[in-house]
Amino acid sequence: MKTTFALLALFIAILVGGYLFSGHPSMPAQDNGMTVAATAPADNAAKPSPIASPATAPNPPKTASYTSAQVAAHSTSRNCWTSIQGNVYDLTNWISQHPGGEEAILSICGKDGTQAFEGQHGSASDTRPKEMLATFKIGTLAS
Amino acid sequence: MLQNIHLIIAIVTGLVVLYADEQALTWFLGKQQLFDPKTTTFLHRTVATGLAALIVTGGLLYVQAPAAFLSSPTFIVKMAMVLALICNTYFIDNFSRIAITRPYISLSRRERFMLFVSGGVSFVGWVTAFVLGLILSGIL
Repeated sequence: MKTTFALLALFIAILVGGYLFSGHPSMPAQDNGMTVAATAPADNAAKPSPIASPATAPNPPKTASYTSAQVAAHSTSRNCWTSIQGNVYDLTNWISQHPGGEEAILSICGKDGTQAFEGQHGSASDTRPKEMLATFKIGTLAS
Repeated sequence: MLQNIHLIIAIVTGLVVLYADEQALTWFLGKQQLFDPKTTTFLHRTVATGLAALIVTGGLLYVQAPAAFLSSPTFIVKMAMVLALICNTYFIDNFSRIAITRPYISLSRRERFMLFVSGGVSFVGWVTAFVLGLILSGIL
């Protein structure tokens, strides 16, 4: 009985506590209307984002500038943005296709993924991940 | 690194669960009338510790991006399996006490039914959570 309660308490504490104290916004995907766009690679471009607002342009210019707060507002698997080396990427459609598993992408949703990306795909000879990443670019990170 | 530790703990705990299930099978088949109390206590504590270690290491992976993980159906199903396994430790604890004092044949129909439900939850929970973990990490 004690074991069960101890494990249950640990499980709930981590699950709830981790969410509450992680500093992630409780209302993700709320934006100013200009930036909530699920820009995807060409083969997925036709799929509308389920959370895109009517005012959303289907293909915003890749020169658009986003703040860290705007990136942080897209921190779910249904709306996953990340910033890598000063560029902003919408990886929503890539989560389920990532050869390295969902977890690697989910862990960088809404935050700076430079370290994680460089750690895994930093090799100069391995250009494929960088080329793939470039197809998800939606803009740059405002300094 | 953390992901690898999580995976190693899952494999080790899974092997202990398999050994405990094999012991339970010999009890169920009557090849072993009673469980050895020391072995039973050791197995139960090892699995509970393994589960706790999995929760802690999994939690460290989860806190990197809780909102993203909580919105992933794969992760939610995996957590449901973990919750089922945690709740099942209560029943496993009770059955391991029975197994050290009574042979399987002396169990009532209700006790046998509960034993099979608990065993089913344990098997489905561990296998599903392990497979979903492999999917999340990209191994599968």
